[in-house]
Amino acid sequence: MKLTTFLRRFVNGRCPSCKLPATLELTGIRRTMRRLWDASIRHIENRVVLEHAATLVYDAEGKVKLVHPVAGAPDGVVPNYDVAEGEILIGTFHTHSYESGLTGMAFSGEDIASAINEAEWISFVQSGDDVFALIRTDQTVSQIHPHVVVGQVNSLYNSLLGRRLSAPDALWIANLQVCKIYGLAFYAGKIREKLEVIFQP
Amino acid sequence: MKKQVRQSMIKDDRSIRKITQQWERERQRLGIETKPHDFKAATELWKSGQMFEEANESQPEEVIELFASVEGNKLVLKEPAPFPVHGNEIYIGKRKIIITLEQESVDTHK
Repeated sequence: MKLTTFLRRFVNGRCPSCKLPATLELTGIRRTMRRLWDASIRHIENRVVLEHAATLVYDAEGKVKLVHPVAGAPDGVVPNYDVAEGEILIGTFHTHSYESGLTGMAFSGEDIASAINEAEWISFVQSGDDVFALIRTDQTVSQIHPHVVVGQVNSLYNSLLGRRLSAPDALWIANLQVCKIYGLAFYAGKIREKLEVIFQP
Repeated sequence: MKKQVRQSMIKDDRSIRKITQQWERERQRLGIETKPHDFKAATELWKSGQMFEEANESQPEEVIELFASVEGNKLVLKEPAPFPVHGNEIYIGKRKIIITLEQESVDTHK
């Protein structure tokens, strides 16, 4: 389903769980996502990476676009949440680039807390070719104490790494578990493809 | 004017990176190869974990036995016990559990 079509299903910034589509297309935002990923790893040969972010808005013409691209630090970034008149803030996109070249890393606990507490309809993260999305649903909690969700993600992630899972797999499972707890939908896929629903509350 | 940044606006993954680096170092030290990721298998693993979790909800993880006798018309817990007990009272953290025998039980016991 196209993002523009999908957004029409939202009521007060939440998609009813029963109306979550099986797939999500990245049409209209894919190019900016790729550009920001490339910028994130531009100096990876020197083991320097910088997370990048952009803001997802629904403009007056009914188009979904990524605006305000920003560069952050190697381990974090602050999106610019400003929107122009007539635009609606939908959410954010950011990258997870690692100096080691590790990719496939989904959301951190802080990212999930931020998506919930900033009332983002959709939150995207890209790590290599992998794209992940959190969708706010009618089951999603309104607010969460960041320390709680960070503790839950980190504890499960650490424990799964101890069971020899790869870092992306361990973080993936921690994401699914936390999405279940807080009523978020979780989508994932490759940048060149559609995202598929992995968990819906 | 400098824009105000709320803590919740920050997309921060320092803690995940720290844990990842610790495990990368540990795996290198032990010579453990990192497997390529397989999200499908990870999802299946998570789902099976959910099934076990649901099954475990009806299965106690630990059994704690307390012994008691009836003295007079009161239940008296045997000491020492796995929890602090005194007479008919059990102390668990900030909670005190009091077990009172109903008169009918006392009469039957007699």
